Amino acid sequence: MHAFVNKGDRVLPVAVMTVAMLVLTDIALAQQQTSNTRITDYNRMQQQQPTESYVRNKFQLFDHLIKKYERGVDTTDVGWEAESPELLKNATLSRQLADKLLKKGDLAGAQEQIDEALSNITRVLRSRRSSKSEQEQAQKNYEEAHRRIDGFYDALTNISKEKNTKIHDYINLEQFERYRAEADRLAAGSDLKNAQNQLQKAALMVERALAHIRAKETLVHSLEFASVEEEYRYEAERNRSHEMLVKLMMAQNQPSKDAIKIYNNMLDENNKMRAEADELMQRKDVAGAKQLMEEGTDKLIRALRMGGMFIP
Amino acid sequence: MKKNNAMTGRLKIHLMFGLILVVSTSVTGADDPNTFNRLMDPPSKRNPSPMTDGIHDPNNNGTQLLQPPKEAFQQLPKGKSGNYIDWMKALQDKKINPRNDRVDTKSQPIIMDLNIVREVKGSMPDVVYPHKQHTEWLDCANCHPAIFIPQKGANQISMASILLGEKCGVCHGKVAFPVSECRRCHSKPKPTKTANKKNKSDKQAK
Repeated sequence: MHAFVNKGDRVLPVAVMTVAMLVLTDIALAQQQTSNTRITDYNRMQQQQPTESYVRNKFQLFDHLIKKYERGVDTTDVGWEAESPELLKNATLSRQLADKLLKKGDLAGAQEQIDEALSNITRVLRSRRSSKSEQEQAQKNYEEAHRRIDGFYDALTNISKEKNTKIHDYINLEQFERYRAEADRLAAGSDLKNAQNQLQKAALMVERALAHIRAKETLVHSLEFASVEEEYRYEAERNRSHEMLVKLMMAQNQPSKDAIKIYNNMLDENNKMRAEADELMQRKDVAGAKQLMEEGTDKLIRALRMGGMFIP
Repeated sequence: MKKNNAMTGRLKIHLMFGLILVVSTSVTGADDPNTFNRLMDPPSKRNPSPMTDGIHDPNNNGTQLLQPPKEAFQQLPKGKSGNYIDWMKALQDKKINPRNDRVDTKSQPIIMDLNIVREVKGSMPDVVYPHKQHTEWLDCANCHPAIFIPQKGANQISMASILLGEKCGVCHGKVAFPVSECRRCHSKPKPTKTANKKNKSDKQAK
């Protein structure tokens, strides 16, 4: 240590390194301890008597689930299980018994009964899931999958036309159509599960075909406007985007009060310009409105650059 | 002696976390315009443990058994933003091996190696959307047709919509890298003026 003191320029780095090593060792020890503590805590909680608040939380959960059940009850639903009324009755009885035991101070007994009640009410609610709403969801999923596959198939057709190739080179069309037709037939008979399976087979075929036909390609969506009005609408959205980015940057960077003032001024100026641009637009001066909106956006870009955001 | 060392160690750790907390509190925005963007939390709030994440029930014994994200992330390559894990590198280096199918372990994803370039107005580089990196662990159905209609010109995308959690913002800023990482998407520089002039003169020469 004395040797280091004599070499004054080395003292600081060595001291820093020593402290850093100590801290790192302690962190490693602490992490190990935390991990051990976590498991020990769990074992302790398993062995110990439950606390009253812990059991009361379970009561609250049960009451919440009962309300949820009462809100949506409709025993005429498809899929409503025959045993549900019995389970519900048992759940309510267990809840009442748990309440009595809790009042007597028998926490372990109360916990056992409320757990039983929760188990039963959960089974009741689960059985409701396989009911009308689930059918509706399955129908929705099926329709969405159909839209995706139809969209992909249209895209495949268009691409193969653009490339002057035959669609058969990429997909076994007959098989694809068979899967699709079978899916539709099953869906018409409300067998949505199997319909979805058939549709999935068709989906895999068309997705593989698209991956093949588009392999290693780059598509460019060029920015071309059909009219000045269209460009104005684009610019208005671009302006709104930049305004949001400035606000995001302000919240994220927490700039100084002076900087905030400057940013707010820039935002205010932009708002005025945007309002003026909208007025010009109403007076059918589209080119003037577009230019003013662009100037407003430029102001916001300056604000973003000031805040250190990357805009070349 | 050992106990004393442990206590000193804990004190140091508490001081360090205290310091981090003070620093991070001073940089946290009160009125965040972008509250959905939870990956942009200050360091002290990133990747909280299941007991404190506000998602899991801290009263449930099982919650304590869940592995805290910080512990799980230790072996993964570091990233520069979000939850500070480079998930793509983790996938490429086979540090993680997500299943394509929940049941069928042999199922392989259909990888679409198609880049889509979207030109943007102004000096900002154009956006490159790589299907490859996305389809390596996402299914087509995750995005099509609910988020993006699979049709040319059918999708209007703006930064405003992304910031509001739509389009790319359905994932980016929530479970994928945040929108503050401009250059990861705006990655295709605009042709420079000199390059344009050179192209024109080349054409004229021809």
